[in-house]
Order: sequence, then C-alpha cells, then structure tokens
Amino acid sequence: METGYLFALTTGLLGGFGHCIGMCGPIVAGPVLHQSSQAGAAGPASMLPQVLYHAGRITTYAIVGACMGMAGSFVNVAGKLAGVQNSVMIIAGLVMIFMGLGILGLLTGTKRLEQHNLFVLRTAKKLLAGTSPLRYYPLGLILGLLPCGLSYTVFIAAAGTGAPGAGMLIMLLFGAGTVPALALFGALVSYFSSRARGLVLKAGGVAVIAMGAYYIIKGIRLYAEM
Amino acid sequence: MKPSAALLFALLLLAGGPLAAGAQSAKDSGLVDCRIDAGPCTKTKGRLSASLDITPKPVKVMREATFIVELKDQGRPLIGASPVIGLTMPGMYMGTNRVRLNPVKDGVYTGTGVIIRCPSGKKVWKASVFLKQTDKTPAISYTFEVN
Repeated sequence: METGYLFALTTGLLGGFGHCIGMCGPIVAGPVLHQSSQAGAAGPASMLPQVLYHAGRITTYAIVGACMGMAGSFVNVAGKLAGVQNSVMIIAGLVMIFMGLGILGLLTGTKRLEQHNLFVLRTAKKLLAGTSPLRYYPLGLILGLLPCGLSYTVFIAAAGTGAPGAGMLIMLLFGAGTVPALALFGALVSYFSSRARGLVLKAGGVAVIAMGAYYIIKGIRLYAEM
Repeated sequence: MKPSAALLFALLLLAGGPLAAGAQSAKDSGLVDCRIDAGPCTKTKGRLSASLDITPKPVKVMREATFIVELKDQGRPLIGASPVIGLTMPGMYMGTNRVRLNPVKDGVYTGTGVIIRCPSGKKVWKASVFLKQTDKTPAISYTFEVN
C-alpha cells in the first residue's frame, strides 16, 4: 500500500479512538439512543442506524476528498467549505436537540415550532419523526461536513495527491479507519440503552440535548472567528 | 432504575468530549516554548542548532504558511539534509501533518504548509523537525501558539 493511503488508514484508526470518540461520540450516541427510544431494537438490528450513518459520513468525506484532489489545494476548498461547515455544526446541534427531545418523548411538543414553517425545523422533524433507519444515511451525509481537525489533516494529504480518484480513496480509507472506534462506542451505548429504560434513557436524552446546545454555540463562535 | 446509573450513563456520553477538550486548552498553553509571532525560535541539541520561522505573521490557522528552518552543525550550515516538519497537537490526537522542506541556500530549508483549525478551540501546536523523511525521531521540536 502506498504511503499516503497507509497514512490515511492509520490516522483514521488511531484517531477513531484518540479523537473521534471524544469529539463525535455524542453525535454517534444520538441516533442510537433515538432509535432505541422509538423502536427498542436490540441485537444486530440496532446497529443498522450506525452503519447507515457511517456510510453517509464516509460518502461525504470521499466527495470532499475528490474535490480536494481535483483542486490540488486544501486552503482553497476548505475556505469555500468553511461557511457551510459552520452551518452544519449549528444544524448538528439542532438535530441533536431534536433527537434529545425525541428520546425524552417530547418531540410531539415541537408541532408548535413547526407552524413557524422554518425549513430546518421541518427537515429535522421529517428526519427524526419517522421510524425507518434509512433516514440515518442522509443524516450521515450532512454531518460528514462537520468541521473536524482530524479530517482536515487527511484532507491536506488528499489535496496533495493532485488527483480526484486518489483524493477520494485517501478519504475513503480514512473514513473506514474511524469506523471501528465509533462503532464500538455506538455498540456500547446501544447495549446499555437497550437494557436501561426510563431514567437512564432520559439522562442520555438530556446529555444529547446539552451537547446539541454546545455544538450550536461552537458553530456560532466559529462563524464569528471567520 | 437508579438515578446514579442515569448519571453514569450521561457522563459516559459526555466523557472526554468537546467540553473536556475545551478545558484542556488552557493546560496546553503551559507547554509553549516558542513565541513564533515574535520571530524565529532557535534551539540547540548536541552539535545541532536549528531555528524555525513561519511566515506570514501573525501565524494564523487555515491559510498557507511558509516554514523556514535553518540548520547548523557545530555552527556551520548543515548541507544535504532533506528535512520534514511534522505538525501535531499536544493536547489532542490530530494525526501528523507533514511539511516537506527544500533547500534554498546553505543550511536553509523552506516548505509550504497549512496549520489547521481545531474546532474545539485549541491553538497550541508542536512542530517537530526531522532531518530525513525516513527519520522516526525528531531532531528538535518547538511548541507554539497560533492565532
């Protein structure tokens, strides 16, 4: 395997445990808890939302990696994406708050908000109110655009290839490398949430809401720093 | 279900997360040994003396920067090296962003790279200078804060 590809895979594997669980753990836990609170799925079926979420996330990485490779410049593409990424951070926060409300059984209370016809609120409601696990793929596609320092490091390598195919492959390998750690974390959350009902699940919902609020504040701060 | 179990579960979701990362950033500032915005930082290790400078100033994240390294062996320009800078973050695993340097004159090597932005707010970076691209151990390292 070429050095660049090996670098991407090992950065993903190491970063999954050393970076992603800390930074993105709550985002991974949100869909798992949300699905558990709705369907109570256990066993392998409970992993489907996660698999689809990661597939969506890696698809986005691959597309951005191809763009980086085609442009041959990290700064140019990252500069164009910065505003979008900061918005995605705010959207992620909103989605997590909605998920948290869903886990707490309070999502029906958002009907009043929906009357305001806000696009984000309507989309989030549509995404989270259904029961199909397929909705987690588009969620992964969107949240794959979250600003992330670790992925920036690998995007620089993707840009350095100067070729869209190589840039895409580098990001695919990086994304795949991050999966074991996040899947393990998600499986742990799923295991606990499938057994822990009531107060424990509600505590998870409150934690997801708290993290959602944190992401919104962080997204606004990143905008201010631009 | 016991409230303590609920609290433990909530803490599991938040443990080591972005909130903790923010609290860590103040601790990282204590590691800084190079005020890169003030000018080149020079360090000596055995026979080797190395100075690092980054331009343009102030050094900012997410923009192309030129890394300049001047190497001296017992006071004489070190010719024939193929140095690489490995950029890492002391407070969080961010992978290693490698910047290859090329000789511009005797003992002076430059390369272009980008110091990335960490959304957690951390701004302390470590630049490790390797004399060869294949070296596993850095010759000299500098820890600095960016804007």
